[in-house]
Amino acid sequence: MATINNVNFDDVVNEALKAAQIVLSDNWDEARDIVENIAKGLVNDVSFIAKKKLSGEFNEDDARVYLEDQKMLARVRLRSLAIITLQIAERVWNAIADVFRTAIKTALKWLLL
Amino acid sequence: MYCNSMVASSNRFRSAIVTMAAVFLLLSLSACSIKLVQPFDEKLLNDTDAFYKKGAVMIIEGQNFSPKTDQDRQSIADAVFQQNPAHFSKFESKYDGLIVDSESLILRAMSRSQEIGTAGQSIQKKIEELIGASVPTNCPDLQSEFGKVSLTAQNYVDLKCLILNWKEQHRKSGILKKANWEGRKLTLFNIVFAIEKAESFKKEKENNK
Repeated sequence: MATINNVNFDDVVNEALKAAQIVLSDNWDEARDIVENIAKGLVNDVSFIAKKKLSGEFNEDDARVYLEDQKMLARVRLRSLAIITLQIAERVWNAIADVFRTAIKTALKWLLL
Repeated sequence: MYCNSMVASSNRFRSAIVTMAAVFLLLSLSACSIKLVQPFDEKLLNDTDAFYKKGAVMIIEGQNFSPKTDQDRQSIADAVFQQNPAHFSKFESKYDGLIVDSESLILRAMSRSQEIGTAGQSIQKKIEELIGASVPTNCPDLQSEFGKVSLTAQNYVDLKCLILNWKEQHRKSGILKKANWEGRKLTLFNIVFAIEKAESFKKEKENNK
């Protein structure tokens, strides 16, 4: 790739990739946690209903209402996962943009951004 | 020799065009920072926490006063049914308080959603459509009332929906059972946890900037 005013853009791309990797590794655990939370939540729901049915505390109507509530919970969990993922994407993009902004300023000697 | 010179010039010209195209592309791609989600809002997080506490207190009260089984409930005499401390009439104002609090959370979330960039708004709209198609809301009228709002605000719309449905369930049955309240406790905890997980995630990295 080009070298402009002693700025080697191959190096810039590598630097940008490293910046993106750092953001991803710093943030991935949070996204993984909520996915685990969703999966465990589904198992817990079934256990809860089974337990309450066995003890006679839940009739079919109670189970139906509880599951309706879990639908709303599922929506919120999906949204929360989306929010976290979008936040990660935003950080990755902005980390890459920062690297290029500096490089372009140096290469072109223009204060464009 | 002339041809070699011409080829060399042509190659240099081509290289210059490619370089300029690459620089233009880089400029476009790195033009500005983007905002895909609305920013961290400490007040919103604190108010969500307060909402949870209020809801949890109501649930504990309900659990304490309520019968365990259908038979226990049926054994409550008609004459004293409405006076029973677990009766809906004793909880109606508590539900209303939570409904108002959820509306306040929605308003707060909506007021900060202006800070999402155009690309972010577009992506969030698509995500919400997908979620709506996969898991339709229990409150279609409420959904229409608020229309297209950010993912953060939509979470609070669903929270309001939950409370509205709880109020209606309690009103219809008159007196709930302990297990109903126990289920609500789990649901409330998990919903607020999911909301707070997403919102507080925004904070950690802002502090690291």
